[in-house]
Amino acid sequence: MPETSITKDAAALGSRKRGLARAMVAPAVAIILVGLAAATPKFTADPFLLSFVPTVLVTLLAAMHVWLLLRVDLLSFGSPPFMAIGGYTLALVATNYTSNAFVLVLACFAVPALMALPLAVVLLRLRGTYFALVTFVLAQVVMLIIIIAEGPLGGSSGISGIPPATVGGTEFGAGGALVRFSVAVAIVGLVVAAAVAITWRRHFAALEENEPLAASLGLNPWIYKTLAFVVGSGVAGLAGLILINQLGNAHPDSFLPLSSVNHLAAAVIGGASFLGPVIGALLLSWLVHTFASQAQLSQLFLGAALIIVTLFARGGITGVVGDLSRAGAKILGRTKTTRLDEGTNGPKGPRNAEKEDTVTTARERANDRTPLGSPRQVVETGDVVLAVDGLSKSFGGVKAVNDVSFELRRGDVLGVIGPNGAGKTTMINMIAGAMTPTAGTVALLGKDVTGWSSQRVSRQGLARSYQQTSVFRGATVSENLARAKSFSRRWATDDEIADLLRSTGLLARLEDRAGDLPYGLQKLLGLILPLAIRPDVLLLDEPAAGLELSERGRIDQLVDWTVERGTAVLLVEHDMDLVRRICPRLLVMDTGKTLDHGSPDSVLNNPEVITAYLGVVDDDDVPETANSSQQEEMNHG
Amino acid sequence: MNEIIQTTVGGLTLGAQYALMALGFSLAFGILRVINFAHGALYVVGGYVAYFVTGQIGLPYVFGVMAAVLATAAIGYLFELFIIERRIDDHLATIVLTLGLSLIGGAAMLGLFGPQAVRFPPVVSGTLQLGGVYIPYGRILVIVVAAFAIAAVYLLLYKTQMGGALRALTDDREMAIAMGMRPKVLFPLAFAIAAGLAGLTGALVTPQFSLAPFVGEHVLMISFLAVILGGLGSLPGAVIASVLVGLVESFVGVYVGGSWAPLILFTGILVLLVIRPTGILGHRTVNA
Repeated sequence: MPETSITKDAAALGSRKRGLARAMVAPAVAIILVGLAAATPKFTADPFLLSFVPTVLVTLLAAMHVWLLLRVDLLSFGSPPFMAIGGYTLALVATNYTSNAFVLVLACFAVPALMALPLAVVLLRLRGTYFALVTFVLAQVVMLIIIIAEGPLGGSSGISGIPPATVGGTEFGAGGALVRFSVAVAIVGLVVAAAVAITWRRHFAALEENEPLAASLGLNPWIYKTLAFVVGSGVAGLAGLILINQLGNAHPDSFLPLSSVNHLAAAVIGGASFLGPVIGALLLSWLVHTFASQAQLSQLFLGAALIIVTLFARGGITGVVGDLSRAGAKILGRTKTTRLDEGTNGPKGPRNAEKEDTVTTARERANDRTPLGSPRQVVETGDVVLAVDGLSKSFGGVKAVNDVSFELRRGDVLGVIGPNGAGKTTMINMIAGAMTPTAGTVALLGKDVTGWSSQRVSRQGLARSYQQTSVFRGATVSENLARAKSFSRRWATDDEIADLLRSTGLLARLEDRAGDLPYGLQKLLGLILPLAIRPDVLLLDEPAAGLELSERGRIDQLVDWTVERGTAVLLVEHDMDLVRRICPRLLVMDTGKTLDHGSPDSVLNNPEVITAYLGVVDDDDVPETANSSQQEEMNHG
Repeated sequence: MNEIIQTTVGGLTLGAQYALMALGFSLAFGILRVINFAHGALYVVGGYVAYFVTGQIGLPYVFGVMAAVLATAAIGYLFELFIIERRIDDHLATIVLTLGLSLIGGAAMLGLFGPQAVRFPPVVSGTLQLGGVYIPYGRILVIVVAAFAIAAVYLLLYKTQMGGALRALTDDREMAIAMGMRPKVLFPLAFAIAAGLAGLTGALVTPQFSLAPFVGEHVLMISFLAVILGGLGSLPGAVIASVLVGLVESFVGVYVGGSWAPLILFTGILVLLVIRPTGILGHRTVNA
């Protein structure tokens, strides 16, 4: 056993380092490519080419603004307004104070970034759609402010005669010096964007892929969205700096609101890799230049490309190239992967190993567990960790949850049953912070957490699973765990994680994409993530739904595992066998209300409960609850 | 006093026109949860189709309006059926897709009719004089059509079986499908109606204002303002907000200065979003 665990840890550590190294490749290539552009003056004196380089760089940084926000699942039309803020900052600072390049770069990044901050506070509490709409409106409004502000900003005639940026005695106003300065500014922008995108790559990827899950594991979406917006706005400001420094005058027409569509197209078509905006900007600049006299053709091409990319290649150009190279690597690297698996699991194939693991774990645990089929004894020795009092939720006139109260103690397992639509999931959502209750309170570890957000409740010690599979589908199993670990303040020990992975059969699939796993394994992974943050309270929403009978036994093990560690579990489930096996106490809900609350035997013999499930009470077949046909009906109820 | 009445009437007519502009946009979001960035482009296409039929072929204006509605509805139907439907659950993807349609539509009009504004032959001329208040007949036509269109959409959504099915699909697509509603039939129809409303608005409004490939941007802006103010997905909210936008624009134009109106509206929106994130009549909605 220890050997396995060491091998596994080494492998995990290796994959983590490889993950970081892999994340740094694309930014490094992008920065080198942009750096090479500084050499353009050495090869050519063509004035067109020399002025073309800064133009491409402006588009690149503007597209980078959109790209950064796309990484947190937000669509921004805010590149022109923040470019304008950066450009006008340059105009004002260079005209009135200093043309020192360092000061200008700092100011043109900081001013738009600081202006984005209060907007982020207001906007990012809202759903993503509002963000797209409001940034679109913002673009028009900034334009209008410039036009209205005739005094300080020159109104519609703009500010002209801006001195070029300087360092020492060198002026970066034209020719080779201008190209070098523009490249340097672009690299500053790329380095900042890359630093953010690499450092928080897990947080960004999780937000883009599955925000509710990330929040339920303790990630605060608002912080990372704000971060992306603020940094993205600073990067757009640098685009404005390059543009206005090249033009020598600031004019509202340089920041047309609709140019955001071009930047968005460059980011979307280029794709999800950090190289995406570079490729997108090159493509867009080439297109705009080639069809300069036939704008309708470049517009037509962009429109078609947006639709084609969205329908058939979500990852954009870089995504398609990445997929192809991964597919190639998979074919080449198949032998290597197999050898790695053998190293971990001995001479047997991964499948056998998985089976054997389960068997041993089950055998090991057989002593601790009460025999299947009979409910465990009610042991309520622990403190109250979750107290729900009078919890209610109304949707319009419908009371989905109506005055539900109960307590959970450490080591307790409370089963919640009831027909579909009884309000069970709504109740879980309210306790876990995904919904705000209409009335009632939720106290977690003695603290009133009513109305808290998911991530706050999670950090206070509550975890939940989802009825549908909820994992980070695009990431590998080990990356799923790594993300959960980086979002949460609590984490199980490495041995515990290995234990969980072994007992579910996921150990052999660590490097598989979660989305490629069979349904049952995805669902089990979705259970392991909340378990691994070692919560005080765990809410399970129909963990067995959709699992095969053989897989359902693993739910017992997982619940036992976490209960042994002092967690209180609330289990919503339709599988009556499972409920009877692991729940010493049941709460029955129907149409939002508590129908009954007590031991399984008393609850399942309650005629009201039977009516709720079966619709009618027939005196002849009321009593025998263990009756299997009736349970069958309940399972489907 | 007379000036205030004239300004109010001006604001109301403008508001009615904005309500018509925002109606199709609001419908597309309310039913399909799609932010239709092609709304402005469809308005422009509607305007050009009406212009082509009326000004270049020489048929009566009514035919121009009908052709505009049919053409844009057909575009909307096909685009939903073959393209949006594939990514209907991904709100960012649907924005990008409709943005693509918007670019293609704009490019087509630019290629066919050129970048310059075209002169629409005057169709409804003259001005109604009521006391000291003047209202052009063209505007009255827009108000009447707006009232009819809003009533029709309301009846469609709340008084017909199709409307019930559409609302059910919006609330819980999976459950509605399980109960026999067919999104593949209903959603293209709903988007066709939304697009047709954009085309209708274009055919009615562009003769009063101007017709050029870029005028759609303004319509898109107005629609955004209306739905953000009114609450995403709320049809009555969008109508009320449109009228409000019209009144603000009218009063600010007379008493402050025209270019301040959007700034004041935007500030108002930010304040509103802080106080009441769901807009005037917006309700708690599913993540979109």
